[in-house]
Amino acid sequence: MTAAPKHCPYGAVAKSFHWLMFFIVGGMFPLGYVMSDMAVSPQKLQLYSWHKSFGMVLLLLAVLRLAWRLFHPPPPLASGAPPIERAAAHGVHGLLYACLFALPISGWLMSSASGLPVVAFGLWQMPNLIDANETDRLFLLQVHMSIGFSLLSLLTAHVTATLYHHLYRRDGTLRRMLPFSAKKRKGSNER
Amino acid sequence: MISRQLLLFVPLMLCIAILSCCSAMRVLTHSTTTDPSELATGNYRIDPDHVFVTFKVDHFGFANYVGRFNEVDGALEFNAEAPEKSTLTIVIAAASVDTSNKFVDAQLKGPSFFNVENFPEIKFVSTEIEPVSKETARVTGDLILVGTSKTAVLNVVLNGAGTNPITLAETIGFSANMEIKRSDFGLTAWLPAVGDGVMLDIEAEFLRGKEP
Repeated sequence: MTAAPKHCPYGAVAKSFHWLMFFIVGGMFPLGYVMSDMAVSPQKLQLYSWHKSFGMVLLLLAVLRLAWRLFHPPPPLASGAPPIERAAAHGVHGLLYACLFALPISGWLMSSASGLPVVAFGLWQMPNLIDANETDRLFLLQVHMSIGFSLLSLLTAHVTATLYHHLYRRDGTLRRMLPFSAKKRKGSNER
Repeated sequence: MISRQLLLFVPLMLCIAILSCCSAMRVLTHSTTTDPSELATGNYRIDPDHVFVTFKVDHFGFANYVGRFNEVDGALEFNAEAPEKSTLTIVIAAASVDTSNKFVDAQLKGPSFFNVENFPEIKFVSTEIEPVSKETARVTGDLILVGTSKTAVLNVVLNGAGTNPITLAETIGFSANMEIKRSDFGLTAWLPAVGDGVMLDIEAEFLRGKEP
């Protein structure tokens, strides 16, 4: 197997989007899981406030990230991968983007349906997208959770593929996105 | 290179940390006003989750029997410059009466009392508002109960108004009470075992910008 030698990293902005969203998304899953199980308390409201606020941040980041990507196309995938793997990579990336939009939007819809509006960081009241309705809320809760679990599955595929590239293919795919690796490392071209 | 990326990352994390404290700070620094002139003129609507209408009526001279109405709607056109020019309408779903006793509830909904099939709504429409002090007022209006309209007076206290720190809704909160004689409305069942005078208590939060 001749792995692609090119180490062509993502730009600093694209990396920033990726790792910022990595930390926020990583925090949102335990936050969402814990808060929905809590008994009503001020702490519960605080966790909901954070979950909703960072959801809005994620949505904003998703919009900016997609816009940035349109004008700054990502570096090409490592050459040498068979077409099916390339298709899988593009497919998973596309679905990840879809989730990063659908997850906050479904949460926003759910919040509207619950009658408790989204107030980002206690400062900015977001408009309600739909009227309060308990039936809609329960339906949207299922939608929100389904998208959440879909995102988890996609992330598993995403990370597994990265490890496959890094450990088996050794084609520098992981290093393209790692921070502090903008400069080409000596010898990375020869690998 | 590392220091340049840290230069971006540290302020970003700091901003996130500060933003994350804001909603809690809002709750901690929350305050209300009782000065009507500081409030915004406009249309306010009762928050269905924060309204409580309870009634008390004497039972054989022993103690008061207490019940409540669970579905209450209301609109307030509030005039901050001239509070006396405001108008208030309260609509109560008669069938939402709740005494935590199903036999009493059934009787109250039935023909000898509220007759909810024919008169589903209990309504109060203000006709005159006279401020008594800065935060209290006498609101005179028509109380329409089982198809009979009588003048009734609601004594209102403005408890506090301001921005709800969690929803950011502009809110005015009132407590009010009213005394009526149920016989005025033809509700004479169980007299005199059950008292004629009925005391109504209302606790209500009105939210701005919700059109009636």
